[in-house]
Formats: sequence, C-alpha cells, structure tokens
Amino acid sequence: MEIERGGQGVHIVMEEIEVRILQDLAAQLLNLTTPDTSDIGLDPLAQMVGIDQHATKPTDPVLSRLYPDAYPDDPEASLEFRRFTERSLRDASNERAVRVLEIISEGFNFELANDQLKDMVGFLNDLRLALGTRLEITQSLESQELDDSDPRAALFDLYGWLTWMQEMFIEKGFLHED
Amino acid sequence: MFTCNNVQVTSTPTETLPTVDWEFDTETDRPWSTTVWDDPINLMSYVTYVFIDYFKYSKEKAAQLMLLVHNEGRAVVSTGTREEMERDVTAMHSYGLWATLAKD
Repeated sequence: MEIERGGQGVHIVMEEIEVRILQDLAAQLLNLTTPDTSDIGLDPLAQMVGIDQHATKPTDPVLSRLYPDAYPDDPEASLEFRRFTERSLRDASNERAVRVLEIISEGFNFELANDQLKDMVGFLNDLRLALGTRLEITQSLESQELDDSDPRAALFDLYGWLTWMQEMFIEKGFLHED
Repeated sequence: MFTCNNVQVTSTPTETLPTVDWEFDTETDRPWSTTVWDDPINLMSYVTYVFIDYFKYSKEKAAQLMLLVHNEGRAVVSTGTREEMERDVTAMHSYGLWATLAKD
C-alpha cells in the first residue's frame, strides 16, 4: 500500500491482495459484531432508537473489549448503560465497516476525503482490537515475536500489517505537519 | 510499532485539564469524570487523534493526555454531569478506547 497526502485528504494505492484481506477481515468483523436480531420479542421502537433491554455482558473477550463496562465498580449501572448503548455502538461500527467495504470495492487506487479517512482509521482500529484481543497482545509487538512454528505467527503478521497501515493513515491524514 | 514519531511533545502545554471546583460543588456541578485507560492495542498516535477529533483538544494537549494514559495507566479526559460523561464514554467506546465514568 502507498499513501500520500493530496487534495482534501489522502491518495491510496493498494495491492489487490491487500484489498482482498481487508474484505475478508471486514466480513469476519461483521459476523462477530452484528447484533442478534433473532429475538422477536424486542420492542420495535426500542430497537429503532438502539435500545436493547436484553443486552448482557458479552462472554466473548473480543466483544467485551469492544463494548466494555462503563462503570468499573457498578455492574448494575454498567448493564443499564450497555442496554442503552451497545446496540447503537455495534450498528455504528458495522455501518462504518460497510462504508469502508464500498470504498475499497471500487478499485485499488482511490482518494479518501476526511470523513472516509476517519471511517478507515476507525475500521482498522476495530480489526486490531478484535485480532489483538484474540492474540492476547500484551506489551509491545517486539516483545511478542513468535516462533514460525507457532500457529499464531501468521495472525501476528496480519496484526502487524494492520498496525502499520493504521499508523500510516493517522500520520498522513491527521497528525501531519503542514 | 507502538510509537508516535510525528507527535512532538516539546512545548510546555499552557492549557490544563478541567478540574472539579470543590468550593462550588453541587449535584448539578461537574462531579463526574471520564477516565481513559491504557491498553496494549490502541496506538499512541490513535489515542492522540481521538482526543483531537472528539474533544477538539489542541494537538499538544491531546498528546499530553495520551502520554498520561500511557505512562500512568489512565487519565481523566473530561469532567461534567453524569449525562455528559455517559455521552463521552459512549463516544470513547465508539472509537474503541477503553473508558469508564465515575463520580469524583
């Protein structure tokens, strides 16, 4: 991937394989974060405004990292907060992933305006949180280097690539010195 | 990889964090705060970007807060009413930052 500043945002050139990997990861993310709508007992009005009276603290570590408890010492208040916010957070994250998929499906050479750049950076962060939590990332990447025989090594390389890409987008897009 | 090469924290920030004014503390004052916690995944540059993008803090103040999170393990990033802090925590979660609120 190459990324340069230009116009109102950045100009990006991606390899086909990079786009394919992002599409695959986005599909996995959507699969994980899409709310379970099989519960037909949900109040449609509550659903419309993003309230889920049946939300419970997720058991999947990735989901509990993406949607953490808001009140560290108050499980009851945390649960109530979750019922008012988690579905909206999931929806917003999924809509963002879909917008990024639309951008990258248009080709391997594209311009990103500021809002699209924010979507891209947020999307990459969701992917890194999901993958990093699965890999149980602790301190720095360097101290976590794995032996090639370790089955997690390929995922670790993928995580490193996402990190590099996110860093590039942030530096070129937002923290650059004009 | 977890560095933030483009963020220069060379100047002394002139702004300070919003603080609770205990002398005039009432239920409707600013007794709640939002805390962002350090985590091993979010990049330092990303955390700085979030503080700029959401709170509209200057680059210097955002970088200073980010370093506080990184070095101290957490930092209070905003104070206000409970409703305001629930809004800020929800926003931090939408960016993927690990944030909580508490009454000071």
